[in-house]
Amino acid sequence: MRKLICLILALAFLPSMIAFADARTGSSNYLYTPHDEIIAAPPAYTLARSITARDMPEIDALDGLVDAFRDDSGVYILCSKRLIIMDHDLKVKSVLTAYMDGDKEVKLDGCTGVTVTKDGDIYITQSEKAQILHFNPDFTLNRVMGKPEIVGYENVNYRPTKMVVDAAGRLYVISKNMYEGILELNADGTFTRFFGVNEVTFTPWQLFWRTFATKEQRARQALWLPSDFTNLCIDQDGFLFATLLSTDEKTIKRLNAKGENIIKVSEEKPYPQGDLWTNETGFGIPTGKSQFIAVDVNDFGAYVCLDSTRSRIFGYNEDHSLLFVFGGPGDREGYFRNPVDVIFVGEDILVLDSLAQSIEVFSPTKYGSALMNAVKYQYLYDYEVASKYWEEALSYNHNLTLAYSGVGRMLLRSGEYEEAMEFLEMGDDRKYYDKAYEKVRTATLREYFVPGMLVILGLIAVKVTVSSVKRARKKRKGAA
Amino acid sequence: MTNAEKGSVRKGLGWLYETFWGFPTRILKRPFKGFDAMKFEKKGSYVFAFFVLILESLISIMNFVYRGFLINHSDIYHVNSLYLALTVLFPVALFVLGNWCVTTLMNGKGKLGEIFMTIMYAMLPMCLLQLVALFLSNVLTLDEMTFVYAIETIGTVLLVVYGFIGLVVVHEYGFGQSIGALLLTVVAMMILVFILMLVFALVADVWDFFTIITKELMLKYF
Repeated sequence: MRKLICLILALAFLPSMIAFADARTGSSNYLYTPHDEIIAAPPAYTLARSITARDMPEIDALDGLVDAFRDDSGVYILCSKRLIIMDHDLKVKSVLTAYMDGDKEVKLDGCTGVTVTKDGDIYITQSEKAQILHFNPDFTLNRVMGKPEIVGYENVNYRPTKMVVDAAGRLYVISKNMYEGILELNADGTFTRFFGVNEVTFTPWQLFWRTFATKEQRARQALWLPSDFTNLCIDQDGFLFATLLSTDEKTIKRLNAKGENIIKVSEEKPYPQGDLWTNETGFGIPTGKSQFIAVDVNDFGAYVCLDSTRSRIFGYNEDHSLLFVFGGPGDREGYFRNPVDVIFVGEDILVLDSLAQSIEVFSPTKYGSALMNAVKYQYLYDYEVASKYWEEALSYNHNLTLAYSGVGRMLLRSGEYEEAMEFLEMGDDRKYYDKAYEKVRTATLREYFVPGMLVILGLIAVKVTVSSVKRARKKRKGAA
Repeated sequence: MTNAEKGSVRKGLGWLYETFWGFPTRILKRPFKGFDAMKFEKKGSYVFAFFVLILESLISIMNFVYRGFLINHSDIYHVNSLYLALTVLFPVALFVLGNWCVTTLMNGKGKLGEIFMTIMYAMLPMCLLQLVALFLSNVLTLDEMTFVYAIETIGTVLLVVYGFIGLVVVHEYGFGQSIGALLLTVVAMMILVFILMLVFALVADVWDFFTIITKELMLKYF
């Protein structure tokens, strides 16, 4: 085993050099070390093709891209004036541009979000029209849902931007400028409750200055309002992933049924927040923290987030460890001008670029697919297969901390504790290192306990005899 | 070897034993009497005091690098030994100076050297316990690491206890007076830091001034 690993590590240098020299990707590829330093990584995803209106004879333009949705039945791409339905190979199946409302035909316009239930019902939100369109699977209009009745909110603007439907048929709607959280509606469209409010946070420093401000100054200051949600999706376990405009690092939340954020990371690990080091000032370059505006989860708990600040895509596994980064602002291949949404489609990742009016399709490289497969099998508790993929990923990127810990955990399982310790230390995985170390220590103690005790007992016996002999001699001398 | 040489060797060994074992243990066993002897019988040794100071600086570096992996979260490939040593040296210097400043004004009988020596002798148990903790951190599991933290806490407590007793004896203070002096020492330390910052800022400004003048002259005449 050890020899095999050594061989793999030795071979690691060759392909990883090739990977670093890969000029096709043209996007930022890096990771963070356990000590939060930036470290180069081979590209995990590269641009396979970009789909524009020219590639789809069924439509005349691809303007106003806003949202994308994927389920088992296909891929749904929403522009403000049309809904494009594709299969998983991104072949257009049908296009919806207008619907019949009673007798009159209504053209789709001002759409902002799309979601599809497992029965095939399609929901489209229209923010400016303050309504949600509910279509049957055959694209006939089922109903138009206006503003739900909420006591006390009669005068508040209802701007449904995005929505999802959970397995029980409940609707979760994000409405712009409704600061109380996500709206939870029953299947019939009646309001149940606000969900997952973002509490207002402020620093002691802000409070300190506020005490000195006059009434007029305070009136002119921006209101301290809870931050808006921007996007949401439902993950494989039925939890809601939501992105929000936030001033702190928590621009993504995973909400349980009570509306609490259940993303918990240990103290040593950063919250999934995109870039850890960002510039606050700068001319002609993006500044400030990463701001996630879209998120999508695949079936194995891995999720990708779209950072609107620097147009980068961040991938995380179900433990919220960073897997890969790609993309960036710009016109070149693999960069985005104004990305609006990101989804997984099979192995690939789709990014909608509303300014370039294109759908960018990113396919995993060999490294990327090894990485994602490892994550997948680890999620399925198949550690043996996962370990194989981790080793493959290591052969491309020997700085991949996650892979070392993956291999280490496998070695721990198979009882090779000393090798496991080595890998787990490189993987910065203290919890499992502890387990391996305990085994090694117990074995060492067991091995050396008996001889050690024998030596100690022997020394005591020698000491006792020597001193008793001495005493006896003294006595004899005294007697003589 | 002549008798005289033998005598000097024996004397040297005796000195070593007394400095590094005899007197320190005496202070640890009976702190009041020990510190009393340090002050009035001149038993204290600067050699030992500096030895402890250097040892503690080394421990601070070792704690960064050699602490067991399970509880070591420091980036051991980016170790700055000078900085780590200064994290020990600077507070010690600051405290000794601050305490001296305050106690001179408050009729304390301790001299600067005596205060320094007191702190160093008081630091010895902490040093030794930290070494023990350092060793244990490499052989214990995560659940047992509580012992390491406990030992380190005991070390700090011992430093405070011995240091306090030492200062009481050295300055010939009462209990309340000592507490007051310690509180004022903290204030004095803050003032010292403030002055240091001022000095550094001033020096930097002066430095800037001269570099700019030199640059201007170079641009104009050369």
